[in-house]
Amino acid sequence: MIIELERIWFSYDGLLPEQRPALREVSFSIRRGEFVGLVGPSGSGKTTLMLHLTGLLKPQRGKVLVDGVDVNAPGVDLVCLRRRIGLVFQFPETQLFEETVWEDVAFGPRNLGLPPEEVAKRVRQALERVGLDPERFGARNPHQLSEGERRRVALAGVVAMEPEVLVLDEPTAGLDPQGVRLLEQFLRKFHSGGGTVVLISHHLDFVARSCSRIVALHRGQVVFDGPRDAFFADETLLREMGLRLPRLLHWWCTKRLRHPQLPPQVYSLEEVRRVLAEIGHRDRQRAEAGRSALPLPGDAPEAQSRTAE
Amino acid sequence: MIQLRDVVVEYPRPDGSRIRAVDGVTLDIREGELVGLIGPNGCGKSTLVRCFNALIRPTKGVVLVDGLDTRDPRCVLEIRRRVGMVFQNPDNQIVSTTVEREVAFGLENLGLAPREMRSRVEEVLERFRLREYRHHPPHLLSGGEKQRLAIASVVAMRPRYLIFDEPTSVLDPAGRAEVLALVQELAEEDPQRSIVFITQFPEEVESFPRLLVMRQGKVLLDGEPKGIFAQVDMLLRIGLEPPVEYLAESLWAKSPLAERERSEAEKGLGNDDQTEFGSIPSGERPKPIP
Repeated sequence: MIIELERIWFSYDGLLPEQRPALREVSFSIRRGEFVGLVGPSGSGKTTLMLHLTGLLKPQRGKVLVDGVDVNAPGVDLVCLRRRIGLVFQFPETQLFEETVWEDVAFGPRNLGLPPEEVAKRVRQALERVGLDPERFGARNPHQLSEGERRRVALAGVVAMEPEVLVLDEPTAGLDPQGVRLLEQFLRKFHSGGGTVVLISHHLDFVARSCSRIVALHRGQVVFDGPRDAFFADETLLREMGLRLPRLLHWWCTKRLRHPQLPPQVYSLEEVRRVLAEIGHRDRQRAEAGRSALPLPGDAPEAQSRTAE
Repeated sequence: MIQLRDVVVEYPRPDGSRIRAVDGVTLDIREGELVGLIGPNGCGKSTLVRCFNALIRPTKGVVLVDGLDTRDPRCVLEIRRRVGMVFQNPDNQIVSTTVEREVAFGLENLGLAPREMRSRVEEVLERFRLREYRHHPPHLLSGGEKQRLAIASVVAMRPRYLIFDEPTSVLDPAGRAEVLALVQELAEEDPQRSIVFITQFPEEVESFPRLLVMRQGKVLLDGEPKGIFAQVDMLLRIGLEPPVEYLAESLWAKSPLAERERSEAEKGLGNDDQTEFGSIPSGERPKPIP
């Protein structure tokens, strides 16, 4: 599946998008299997853009194409579209309404008219995928669960529709670190299983370690679309948008002041661990090769290439 | 000053047994202090701060607010006037139909003269940038604005102590940033005002001068956030996660590069103050790419 946005203009004021546009001439596409971070300051148009992907808002100018079909053309099956593209809104747990977790997750699949055994299969799988044991949680009242658990129930409700694309709006808001980790694991699995993810988030550390491509919106316009490394290297742009470097990357940069041989960018603690372990490994190799004195950081490039051979 | 001496709070369980939510806490909150309070879920944070304004009276021990005993029913009103509390979800705290009335609500209950009340309402609407919304019903405000209104209504009563019980946890990122900035302002503008701020996000209290860490009803750590966050392994063991820089720093400390730094420092080669984490002024942000 491919989603293409073609020169979209949208204004909440009405039909003249030039007046206070929320989106201005927005164009980019999302290809199958991508993990895209959609970032930008508050009010930059991220959520408005998300609502365009399944025809919940219609652009006043421009087109949204899914597999080449204009989603706002007459006769397009929006139900089918919304099944394929799952939107997870901000604080989705506020939309839980059934008396049990099982019923809440079953609501969507049942509405698709699936046979009961298929519904049961999907509910079970969806709960397992978001890390909730169906036996333990199925019969519970969602309103008596913790914030993090309710968020996962809501996510399971979308997952049970078996979407090809997941679009999540600030999914980490209000989650504790453990909740963020579980969400991250889920998204990684969804992605490695062939799913496409669009992640809207202010949590730049989370975006940086998850997304390989960044689309940045500022005042309703796309101001950046490209690989993550290039985005986080563009300090001027980040400053203009009022965004800060991811905290871990900022820390890494302070280390690089003294150790310029370190790779320029890291985004996760696993990467930090790996880079440091490689350095340790190299040092040991060098020591075994008979060089007793530890090399100083400055002489690294030559020494490194020699040991690499 | 709020003084706690050997405070114990027990709740009855449905089966008749008792659960100890606060387990022997001795603590002073001094004038003008800005104190963060963190701890894993269910550690007793909320119960503890509810002892500050007599919402909960200790099962054992004493809580004194400027010398007033929270167990003495004659002191309760005065204590609640001095200790204002802002809760997690502004929707549970806001009771009135317009922004203006919400700010006036607490003042009416204080029995202020109408003229005084009016002038305080004006002052607070101005101070909290709520004037243009004065006739709006609160439910039309954004999450951050609602929390601002909840804080404004409490501040209007001019409490000496302001207690925030996870005011950021149900807000979106913009609202969170707004409330945090407001708390910092409130701490700075009145040197007599004391603030206690509970949060589940350790990075929110990183810049506070004092941090308390609770676990299983006890205050486990009390000190500067930097020193506390550096105890990474201990925090992780009790289910708390320090800000990511501290996690990274603990990996770094075990790496060969840190060893080199240490041996260089011994030889007097390095300029240690430059690379020690946190000492680089924020204005001189390093470039990520050479």
